[in-house]
Amino acid sequence: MTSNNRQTSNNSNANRSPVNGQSARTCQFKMVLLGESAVGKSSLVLRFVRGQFHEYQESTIGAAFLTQTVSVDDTTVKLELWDTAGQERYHSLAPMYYRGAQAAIVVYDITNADTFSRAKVWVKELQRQAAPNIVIALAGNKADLAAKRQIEVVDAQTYADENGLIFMETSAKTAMNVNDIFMAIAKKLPKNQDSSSGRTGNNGPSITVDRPGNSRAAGSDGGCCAGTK
Amino acid sequence: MLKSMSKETINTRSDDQFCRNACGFYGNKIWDGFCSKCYREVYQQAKQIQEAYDGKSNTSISESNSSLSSSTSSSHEKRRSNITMPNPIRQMVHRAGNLRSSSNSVISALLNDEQTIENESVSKYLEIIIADDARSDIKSQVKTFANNFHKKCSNKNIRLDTLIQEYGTFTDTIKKRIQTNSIYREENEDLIHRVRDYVESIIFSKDYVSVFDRIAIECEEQDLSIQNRISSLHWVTPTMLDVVLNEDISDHRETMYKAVNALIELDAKTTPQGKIHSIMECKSFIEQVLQSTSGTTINADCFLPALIYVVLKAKPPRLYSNIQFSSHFSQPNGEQLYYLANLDSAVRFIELLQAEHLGLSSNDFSLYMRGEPVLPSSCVSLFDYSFENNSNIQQLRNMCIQCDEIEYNSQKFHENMTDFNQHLVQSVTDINELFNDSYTRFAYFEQIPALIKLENIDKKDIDLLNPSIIENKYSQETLESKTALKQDIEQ
Repeated sequence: MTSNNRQTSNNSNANRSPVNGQSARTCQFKMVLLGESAVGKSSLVLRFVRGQFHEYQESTIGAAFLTQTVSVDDTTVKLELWDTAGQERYHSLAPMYYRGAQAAIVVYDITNADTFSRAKVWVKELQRQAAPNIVIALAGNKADLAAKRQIEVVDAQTYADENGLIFMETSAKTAMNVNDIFMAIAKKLPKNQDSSSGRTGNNGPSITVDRPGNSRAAGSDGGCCAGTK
Repeated sequence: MLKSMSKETINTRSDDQFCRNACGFYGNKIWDGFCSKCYREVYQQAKQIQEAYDGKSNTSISESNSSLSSSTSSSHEKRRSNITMPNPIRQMVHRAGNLRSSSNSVISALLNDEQTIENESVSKYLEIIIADDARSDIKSQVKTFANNFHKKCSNKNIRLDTLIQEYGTFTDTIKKRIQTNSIYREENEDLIHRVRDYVESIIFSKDYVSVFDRIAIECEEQDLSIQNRISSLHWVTPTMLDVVLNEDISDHRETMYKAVNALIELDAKTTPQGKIHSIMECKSFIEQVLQSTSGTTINADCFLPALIYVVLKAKPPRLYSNIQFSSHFSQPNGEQLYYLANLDSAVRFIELLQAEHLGLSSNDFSLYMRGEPVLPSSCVSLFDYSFENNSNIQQLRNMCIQCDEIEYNSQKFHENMTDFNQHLVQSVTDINELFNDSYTRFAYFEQIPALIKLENIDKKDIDLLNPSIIENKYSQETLESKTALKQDIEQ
């Protein structure tokens, strides 16, 4: 009971009261989705969210923000999935989304080599700019189109190993590996509060307090890591 | 000061015999030391507050009240008529008393407002609480903090950061209290939200203006610059932003207006949650439009451009301050935080917007920004359809640019010609003077000028350089002939 209380209060957006959470503790994490626009980010998330827990589907039309709850061992993990716009012109805005995220999933299309090189850029950017303990996963989507493959599994796997990423080839169409990759991330997320709250030096609202100020400062100083603007 | 003067000059009776309100009339013990008039003013208001508070009017009290007032007013009149000599000081004192009583009534009205707001908020947000002690606990906690916070807000020396911190700490402690204190054990899980709304309605009904003003002063520059930026980007079309939107369909256009309105209303909302609500409302309308246009699921790829377009169309007042206020004082859930971040991103995108973001050449972009009609924005789609061949559009644009260039150059040329003309006239006069001088000095050389016929050249020259002729003839020949003439003259 007590640990539960601490848990929810320390995770910024805890909106469920502890009084009903008798059985297991609940952790809440923010996960951001990155990748070019046609790689299938949204289909991947929709497959994950709608395929497994129909009752948790919170929005019928909007897929920009979704949540999904999974249980890992004795912990309930609530994932908040933040979609980002994949078009080139919005790349410079990404820091405003992945700031404070505990996990990121970078998606590329195995039939399109450009999306893979772009994914590498995302990974590099996340490693430099996002929270230091962020869990990053690389998803090679559209695995069902293996005939048109441009990126070999081995290459992506080597790259992922070098950079300490979770890697899987997925298919939103056939549901291959979709749940697995999200579960792998959920398992890797730190469940004890001290390590997971890298973003939250203080409690609740201070996260929102920090966010816009920082984002502006970062944007004007470094032009963010997109580097172009 | 006035009071003591009046005591010395008018009356020798002791001070406590006067009305406590210093209106200049005598007070009476049965009216708590007020005169009848002031007593009525003060106590009737108090009674009204009480009545409003109880939510019912006691008829018997008001009856006895009216009988009391009628009797007191008549005696008041009598006393007034007893004053035979109008004393200016007494009148001044009287006026001061009036002022004081009116300020009293303002204060009591404020108190009244506060009370009603608290009562309304309690019934609106805290109804669901089962245990009475839990409710009164929250009420007293919030009240103490609200008074404290109000004092801090009224103090101009206390900075915004301090207020933000204070507010954050308080909301945290109350959240923790609800989660840990045993008196809340029985309560619904929704309570935290209810209490949040309650806290906001109490605090910001009083201090919204002073808090928001602090932010608005700090962010004035950004507010203005984003507003100007949006104004200068009024020509941006949905197509440029990749928004799948057909504004020709009236349903879509109306929903879009609703989204725009929701965003404009952001500034009018006086609680953090109200502002968040506006943003979420705007979001739902956008989703509605996108849903009916594209029919697919709405992801960030199509939502963000649409939001940017709505921000551009709405040009929300004090947008930057409002975002700051929302992020400092609201306690959004995950989804609300996401859309707040989206709005923030949209603003940032608009700030950093460049030609390539809209699929325009930098040349076209600067033409648009200067407000020059390259291709009217409303006709872009028209041109896209009618000219299948892009080269036509390109040609048209090139011609426009050339036309601009020609106009610019001809203007320059005209200016140069005018300059040149003036110079020439000046030189001619100078030379003439010189010659005249020479004539007078060397009178016997008089026949020489006649040989050169300088006078004739001079006249012809001036005619040629008449501006009206220049305007009609920009030809190179004229220029050449003029240069030749000039050379002639110089020789």
